[in-house]
Amino acid sequence: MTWREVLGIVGKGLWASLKAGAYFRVSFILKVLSGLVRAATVLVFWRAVLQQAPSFVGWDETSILVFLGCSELFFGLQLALVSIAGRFWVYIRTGYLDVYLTRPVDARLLVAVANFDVPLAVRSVPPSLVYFGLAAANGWQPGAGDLLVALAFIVAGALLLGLIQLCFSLTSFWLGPTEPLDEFVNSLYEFGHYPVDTLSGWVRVLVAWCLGLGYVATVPARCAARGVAALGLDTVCALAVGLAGLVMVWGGLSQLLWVRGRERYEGFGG
Amino acid sequence: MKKQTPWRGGPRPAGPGLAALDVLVGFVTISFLEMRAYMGSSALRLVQYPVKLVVMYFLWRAVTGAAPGRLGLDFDTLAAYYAISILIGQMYSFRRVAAQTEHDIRTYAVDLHLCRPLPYWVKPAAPMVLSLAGYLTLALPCGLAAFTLLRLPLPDPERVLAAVTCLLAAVPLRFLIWYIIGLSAFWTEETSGLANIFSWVESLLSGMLIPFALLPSAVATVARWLPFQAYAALPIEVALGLRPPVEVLGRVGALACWTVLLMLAGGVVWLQGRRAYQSGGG
Repeated sequence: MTWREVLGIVGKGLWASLKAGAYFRVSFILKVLSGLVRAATVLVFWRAVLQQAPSFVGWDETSILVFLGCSELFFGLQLALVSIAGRFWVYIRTGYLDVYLTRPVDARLLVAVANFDVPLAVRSVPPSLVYFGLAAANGWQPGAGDLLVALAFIVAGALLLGLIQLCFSLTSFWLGPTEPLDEFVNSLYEFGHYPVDTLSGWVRVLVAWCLGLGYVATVPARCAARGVAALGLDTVCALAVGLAGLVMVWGGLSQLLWVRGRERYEGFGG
Repeated sequence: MKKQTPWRGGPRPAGPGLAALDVLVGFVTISFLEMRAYMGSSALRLVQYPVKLVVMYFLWRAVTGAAPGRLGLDFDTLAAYYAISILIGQMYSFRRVAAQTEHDIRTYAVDLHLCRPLPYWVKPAAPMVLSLAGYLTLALPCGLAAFTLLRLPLPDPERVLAAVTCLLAAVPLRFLIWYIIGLSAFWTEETSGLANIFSWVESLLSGMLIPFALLPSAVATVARWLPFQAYAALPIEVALGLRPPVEVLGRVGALACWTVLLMLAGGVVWLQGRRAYQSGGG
């Protein structure tokens, strides 16, 4: 398949997902509203934290608000585009994968496209704007380049987490239902809701740099809040190389599991 | 030919109340067998507890480290608070009650239950009852392990008993709230938006997200008037010795009133919803 064909399929999936969202308008409006309620709740939580400690491990009110905006965008994107990776085991376990294997397109891509949920990404925009707006009111003035770098980290980070989820899900070829593993990986996302700088020791190494949860919001927020120049171009390049390395490692592992797993796969009723 | 109940051998109990109880026991039995068949999966779910605890532990360590003595609560109390709060959060995903009810309404599976001489609520209630039984067995060792690993002083047994009483007394209330949210599917078909809104409000006003002592005073005042504190802030504060156990008694009385109110509301929503419901092919 050419990249153009892949992009065509992805585009159709996005459009179909938007149209599907339009059929549940009331629910969509409630979901947007729920995003704003969550933002209000999270703001109360952080206000309480920051009233006790106005600055901790290098994070102050403004940078926390930027962090929250980045985190919101990240999880919106992740849920909308790649969250199905964690439930891929259902297709393996039930044999539904057969249907996708008969098509002349990579089954993983087809499953992902069939489960796009664009409204989830859309609903994360208003809370992000609230966070960024409050940060701007606090004197945050981001550069366009800094924002682009932060966005690139967010998109690549979402891809990385999708690959990690897919790896755990593909173990279903050997282990059967891997729902608990999926729930475990989902619980790890909790780390993405707080700056990884609060962690220490091996927990930080494991969570932030082996599982890549530092790229969820901490790295993008650092780039957007402080600016690439202040962080140092070398540091940002090193972080980008680290992310690319993680994508290659987890991508390679998922490919290996996919190939080996299909050798064991017996299809529906197998 | 011997007449049998759908779930177990033996004669059907007389009276609608006993029949409902019989079916509830039947559902619980099925759920138990299912849980036993997937015991490994059930045990693996417990790993969520330490993950969430580690996150809050490090966050509050960083915060208290940056401003020692400024917090109204010391780090040990905060760590103990979250050790219990997260453990309570693992009790049961009450969202499942709403999700199950919504699913049954949206897919017309509720039709089958309308044909039976049983109230529909028995179906979402059964897995909850089973899960609570399993939870009560596992929660104590998990809590003990967390307190030991974090080197926190263990709460007094009588305080723990008062806290557990309060938690259990709040279960019907939580069930009813999520059941009513699920019943809203009669009109909206999809309830996740409403469920999301409520779960965030609930997490703040129950004290699950942050202790009342750290909340803005206006929010804390509102939260203390609402029943949500009965399933997080009140039992935790009682267990940690921040409030006297006798407060539980007064709160259980208030909870009973709230529960009766919600039972009435649930009945009204169910009747109105059935009028709006068109059934499969309707």
